[in-house]
Amino acid sequence: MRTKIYLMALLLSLSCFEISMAAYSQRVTFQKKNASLEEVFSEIQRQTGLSFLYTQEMLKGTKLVNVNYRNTPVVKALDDCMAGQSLSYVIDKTTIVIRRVSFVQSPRVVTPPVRIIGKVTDSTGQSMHGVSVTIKGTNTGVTTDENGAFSIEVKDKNDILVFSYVGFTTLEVPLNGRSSISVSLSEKPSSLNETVVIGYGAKRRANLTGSVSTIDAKVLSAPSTPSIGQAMMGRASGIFVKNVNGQPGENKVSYNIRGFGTPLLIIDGLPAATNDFNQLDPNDIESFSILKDAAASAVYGAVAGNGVILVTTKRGSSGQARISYSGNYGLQYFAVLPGFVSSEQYARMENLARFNEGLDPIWTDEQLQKFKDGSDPLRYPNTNWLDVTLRKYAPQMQHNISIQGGSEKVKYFVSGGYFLQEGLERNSETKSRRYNLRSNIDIKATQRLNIGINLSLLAQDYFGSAVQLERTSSDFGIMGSIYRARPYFLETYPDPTKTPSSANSPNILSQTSIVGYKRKDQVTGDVKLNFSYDLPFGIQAKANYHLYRTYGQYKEKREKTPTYDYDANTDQYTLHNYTKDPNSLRQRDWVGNNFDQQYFLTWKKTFNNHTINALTVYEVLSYDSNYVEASRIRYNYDIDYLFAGPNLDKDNNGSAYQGGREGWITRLDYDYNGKYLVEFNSRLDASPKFPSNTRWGFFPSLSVAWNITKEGFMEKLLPTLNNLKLRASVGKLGYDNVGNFQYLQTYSIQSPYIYDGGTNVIERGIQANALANPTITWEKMTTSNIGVDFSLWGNLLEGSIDYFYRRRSDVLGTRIVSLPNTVGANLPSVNYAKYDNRGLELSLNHNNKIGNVYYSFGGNISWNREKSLLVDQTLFSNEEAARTGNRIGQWTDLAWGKKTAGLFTSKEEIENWADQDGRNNATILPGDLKFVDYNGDGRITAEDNVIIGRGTFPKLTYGINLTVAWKGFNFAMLWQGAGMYDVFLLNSPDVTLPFYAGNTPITSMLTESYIPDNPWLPSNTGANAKRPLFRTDNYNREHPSFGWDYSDFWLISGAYVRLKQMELGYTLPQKLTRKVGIDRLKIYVAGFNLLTFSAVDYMDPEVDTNPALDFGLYYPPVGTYNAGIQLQF
Amino acid sequence: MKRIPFIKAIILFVIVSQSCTKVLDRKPLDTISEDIVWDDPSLVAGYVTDLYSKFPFFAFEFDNWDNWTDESSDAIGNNNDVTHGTVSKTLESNPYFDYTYIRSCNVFFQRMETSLIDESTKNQLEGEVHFIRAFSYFEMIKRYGGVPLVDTVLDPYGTIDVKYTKRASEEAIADFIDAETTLAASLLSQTPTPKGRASKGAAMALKARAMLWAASIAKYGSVQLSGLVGIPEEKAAGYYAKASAAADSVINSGNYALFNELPDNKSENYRKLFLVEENSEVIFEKAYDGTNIGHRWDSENGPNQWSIRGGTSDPTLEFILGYENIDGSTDQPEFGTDKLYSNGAEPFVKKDPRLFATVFFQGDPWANGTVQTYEGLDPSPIPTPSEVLRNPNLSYMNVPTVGADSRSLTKDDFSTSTGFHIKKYIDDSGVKIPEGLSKTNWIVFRLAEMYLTKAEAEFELGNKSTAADALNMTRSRAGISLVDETSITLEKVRTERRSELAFEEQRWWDLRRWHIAESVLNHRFQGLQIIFHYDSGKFYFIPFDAESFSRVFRPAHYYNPITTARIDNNPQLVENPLY
Repeated sequence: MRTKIYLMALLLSLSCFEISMAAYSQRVTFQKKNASLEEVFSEIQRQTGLSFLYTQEMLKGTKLVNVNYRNTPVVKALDDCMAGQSLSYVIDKTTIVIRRVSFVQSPRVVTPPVRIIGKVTDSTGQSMHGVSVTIKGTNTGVTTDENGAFSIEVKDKNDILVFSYVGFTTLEVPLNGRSSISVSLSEKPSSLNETVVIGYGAKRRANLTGSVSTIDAKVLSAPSTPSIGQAMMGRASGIFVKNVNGQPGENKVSYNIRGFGTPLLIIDGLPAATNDFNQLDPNDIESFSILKDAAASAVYGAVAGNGVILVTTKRGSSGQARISYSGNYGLQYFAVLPGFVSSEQYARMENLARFNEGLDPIWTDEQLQKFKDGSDPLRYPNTNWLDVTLRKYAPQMQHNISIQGGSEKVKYFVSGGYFLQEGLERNSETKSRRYNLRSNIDIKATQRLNIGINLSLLAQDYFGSAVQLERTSSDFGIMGSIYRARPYFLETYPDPTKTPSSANSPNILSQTSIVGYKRKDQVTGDVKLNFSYDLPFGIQAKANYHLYRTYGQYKEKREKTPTYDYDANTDQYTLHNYTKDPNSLRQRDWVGNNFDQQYFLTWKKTFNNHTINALTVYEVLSYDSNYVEASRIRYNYDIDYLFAGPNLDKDNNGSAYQGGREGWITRLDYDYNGKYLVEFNSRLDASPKFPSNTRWGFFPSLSVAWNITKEGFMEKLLPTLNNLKLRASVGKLGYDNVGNFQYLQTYSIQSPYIYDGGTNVIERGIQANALANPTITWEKMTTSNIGVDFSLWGNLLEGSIDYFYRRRSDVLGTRIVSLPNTVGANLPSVNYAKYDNRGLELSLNHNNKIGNVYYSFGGNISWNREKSLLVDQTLFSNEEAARTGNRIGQWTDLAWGKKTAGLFTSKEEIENWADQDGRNNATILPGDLKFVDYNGDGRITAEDNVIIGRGTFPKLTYGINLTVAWKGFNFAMLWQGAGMYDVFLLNSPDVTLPFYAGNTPITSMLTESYIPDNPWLPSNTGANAKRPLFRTDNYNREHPSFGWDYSDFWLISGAYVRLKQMELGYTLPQKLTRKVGIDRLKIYVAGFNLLTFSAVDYMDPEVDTNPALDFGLYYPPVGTYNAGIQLQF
Repeated sequence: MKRIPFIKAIILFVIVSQSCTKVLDRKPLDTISEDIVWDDPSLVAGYVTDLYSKFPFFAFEFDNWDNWTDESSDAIGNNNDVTHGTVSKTLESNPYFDYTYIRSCNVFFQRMETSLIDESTKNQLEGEVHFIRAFSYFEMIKRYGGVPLVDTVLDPYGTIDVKYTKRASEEAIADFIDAETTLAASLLSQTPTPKGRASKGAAMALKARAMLWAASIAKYGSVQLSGLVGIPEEKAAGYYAKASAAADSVINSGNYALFNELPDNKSENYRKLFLVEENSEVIFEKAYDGTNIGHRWDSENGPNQWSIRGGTSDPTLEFILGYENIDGSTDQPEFGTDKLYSNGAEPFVKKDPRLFATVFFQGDPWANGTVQTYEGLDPSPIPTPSEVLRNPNLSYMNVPTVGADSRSLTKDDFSTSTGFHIKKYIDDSGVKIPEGLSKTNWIVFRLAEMYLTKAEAEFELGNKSTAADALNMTRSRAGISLVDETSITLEKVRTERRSELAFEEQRWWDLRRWHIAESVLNHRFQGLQIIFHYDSGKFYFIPFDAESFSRVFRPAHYYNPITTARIDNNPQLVENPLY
């Protein structure tokens, strides 16, 4: 009988597949005790129509069996009855052929099998469960039990046993006649066999031809960081990750591959939004790859120009269910905060600032004394606003539970995670929560059809005060208010219900609690369905579908709050004003959808030593989003819904967006015996951001590699060399990072205007957007890369070196400068500029085991720098303009300004110096900056600007890690650092200019400034004056020539090195934990951002250097202390 | 047999692939596409609204133009590039070289040629845009003299005729503004409302102002760079005549009348002129509602008790003393420790009533309170300046030693530097108006200026009687003595203009077109120390230097620099003289 099964793969749309499945799907029902095999076979034959082929000779000496089949698959029935019988079987269509095992495998000599017993432990001495033990050259194998013990029968006492386990080095142990052995496996001392996920596929590291960095996913989940971005820092060469903000729910990080800019982020094969990427539960990640060169990323075409970060999530593996739990609790703190001067110091500095300007003191000695002795705290308070507003520590908590397992047919990984992070504001309830649920299931539906179902649900909640620590478009921000609060302001009035007015304190306390709230909820559902089907001739067809929907809601309530002035003399309160007036409620809802499709055909062929892999993919991505927002103001009722607000002045808005992408990907990959490797990748890619005639682009890449150690001569030449591989690649990439529809002339509604000043009716005009550029297309990049991978002394030392050169052309930008200004056109982006970039990357790792101590020490270092080859600039009308204006042929990271020669220390010096203030230095005082007259014209002007330093992005980045394990203990440490860049302190005037905009000076302004002879503060006119003479804010800000000008004085090296992560863990002995049914139990303490070394002690070196967000106006990065537990059942 | 599924799969693969290509043909969902804009009257009107919203009003430019003149100084010493005289070819202040805006106007005219909207709407809107373009060129001629005259849409991708990149002569630009305003007036309606929209009156008012400018340049300036700056002197009379005629046409239109709702209180009437919205005197204005569109005049300029910052533009003593007395004389009050006055206004009591509507003095009642600008308290029986207490944290016999609006309050960011605050345009509702939420309208053109323009033009033409009649219109409303053809002088014409139009952003341009900036501005401006003498309960006043330096106005500064940056961009441009 022949059975045909039609499988309808509904979503696949790939029609029906005709499969001959005969025996595999048949089932039998049969019970009998002490049945002979012959009886069993005939019963199966009767029930299924399958015929058996065997000789009586074969069944001689077989044992009787007890069978109990209930609708049992034939294969399972056969396996059961033949277990331990030295028989095997082969199914050939409808016939089952029975064979003697010994006859097949060893037809000549029949030796009695030998039982080998043994035990497998890891480097810490923990017994390992589930290690696969096979006899080399056979398929015979067992796995270790819970105690790491195994027992296996071998034919020959000189066989070789192969021990393998995921994440550990596969070990081959010759028996050499032993019948009992104990084996210790070490964790991945060589990464060569590691499988590396690459674009649209995976490869063994040894076979890679492109430049790919990987991060071991295990290290990511150990110490708890709020997001995977923070965990990635310093882990791999060529990628620099910076934590620029510690706001709960955001924990903003910036990713930068080779100094290129924001890379493409891919989760499980499909592009992901930055938020979804940052909110991945680190416990769910299986592997992490960073595609750096064109060879690796060309398959992503027009969006991959800045490199690609790929993550894959964990999947199930066959075997008993493994349940893991990990949880930790942490305390966050601000890694670096400035200190502020006290009331007394403030008053003394203010008197001095006025003194320096020739003004009378504003504070009397009596008042200074009162500030000092604190005898009158109501009138002369000394408030530390950092302490008052912020708490020292804020909790953070993370839990994750996962179950992983499966059979040959169905494998699953299901994980649920919870993450809580609270804010550091003292009075607020700032809280961010994240719930992750992931279910990755693989079904082997038939012999040829595999189905994968990935479901992921992410829910995020944020709740916090309407006014955040960070400056926003509507609020100055609490952090900035702390700078504005003076130490002689009262923390609270005697009546704590009266909120202090901004004249007496910047309302900080009210902003952290009573001025309203912000709430954000977002739910994202993500479904990925994968179908793969094995076709003849080694061809596999695959289809992936991705459905994604995110829904979010943002709600902001601003409460009208009265503030009061207080007169300590009369104990009177007077209403000052209302803050957040009128009250308001704003709500914004948004929806995003993605529907993506990918169709793969892959082909693999091996003959002799040649292996060819071919891949072609067709991909269509499509996405759309829309939002609607509404607000009402002047609420009479305390009901936080829109309906409850008055009809007057209600406002609403909404818009939508849609986009997509289409691409054909091909890859051809040739491998000669693992020695010579060639890979060709290409993508034909279309982006709807461009008009139809410039939409399609072809992005090819070619890479080659030579595994020199596979050459016979190398072993003799350099026996210490385990691996040496040379790689080279060249390829073209695109980058379409430009606004949409720039090829169309469009108009937008904006610009309010009132025609009638009596009625004040607002009208909105329409303005033309930039002119259309009908030929706009993407930016092109050609990247070449050469690299060497090596390992020495039995993999004791592994490393790789890469050098790259990237040339960008057709870079988009507006050509404002070179077009005569009288044209007046609002120009579109055009493909014009050219840049090139080169860089060097090195990573080294040393692993070893000495006695019971396993350790690993390694690091990575990267350098890159960019030069402008062609940029939009004018024909300079004179040499001077060309000197300071020309950027062509120059490094892009140069800082221009004036050179300084320290501070003036005497009147004579000032008189003899070049004119700095346009009035022969009549207004300059000792302690002011001395600018160098570059052109020697006796005046300090813009023409004295020279190159004074480097740009603000690190050119050199590095990471260093150390891991030590001894018995159950493990210790790990990771340092991250950056260098070869500068920070321009004047971009953060709050930390450079005393009294800037009414700010309270930071303590180093007191200790480091030039202080002349005066009655209030000790003089400091010596070499340790790192800051110039200070004056009142008004004076400072309006007198660039006194020192507040772009000069090298305020340009300091941004170099820093930071202890990013440290962990000390202990894994309890299994002997103990087994007793309570726990396979593995680890406890640990860890920390994040623990130590920082940088040139300034008042500014976090990683903060965003965006001048629009001065230091002090946002949520500084946090550090954490954690304690946690990991369990495995 | 086995190949069939394979082939099927391939075929389906291709079919599915092809059906997906529509993802690339997306349309923008959040913008308006060009093809529907120009034939739709409401969208065309919206385009013009956008031009108004970007109109170079320079309204309420506190901290800038007033402080560059003798009118005021600021709390932080008035240190800026203009007062320092450091404006140079690499450093411009107050730039306006806006060909993007000119292009927007030119695009409008180009599209109107083929637009299907009805003629009357088209005429009205075209008239408005001619006014807008003329105003924009006027802002440029005031700064640079001659500038490139671009009256067509230039193609950024084509070759650009050199005539659109070279500077036209200053005279050519003046004539262009003349023609544009004449054309605008012919297209525009008589109806003066709403006043945020250009009317015939607005076009003629602009013409009057621009022609007076051109006439003054011809008379007081000099022709340089082959006419790129300066206008031949013989053209002066023609431009004065045009200015007078244009002003006359507004005066005689019957659409406007001098604001005179409180004829018995001259000072208060003048103060209300700037607060009563849409009053009969206003010709063209920028309207504010204080929520969507607001400004910072109140938060930056009011006395500290009623403003967020205050003291951004503080009237100088020279400015105050520059007002005529009611009887037309110019004798000045005396100050010193022996001159005790009961309030800050008392020394100036003989002055023009407009002064008290323009400046806050110590003791002025204001919105349920009193202005307190005294900077120190003298506790000694006989006034002794060395004994004066000036500590904001100290009281003497329960009297604060420093007034709540005083210049001694420098520990707050901004206070007056001269002892005075601006009162003109300050909202009198009595609440502290947050930054950017002031709602008083900015008057661009008002009828009084037309009388002043007529008076100046006629005086320069030698028609003293006509000039005196025009000048008396504002003088009589202000309540000061009238002039006649014998008593009228150039000095009186100019003083009247200064008094009437104080803090209306006219003075800076007047000083430049009369070429008197060097003599007026190269000076260290003064304020008054206002000291409360406790024993007498009165005040004494001591003049002092409110600024730490003498200002510098160089001959080059009668024009702005074209700047190296613009010349680098467009080498056809020629830098202005002396830069």
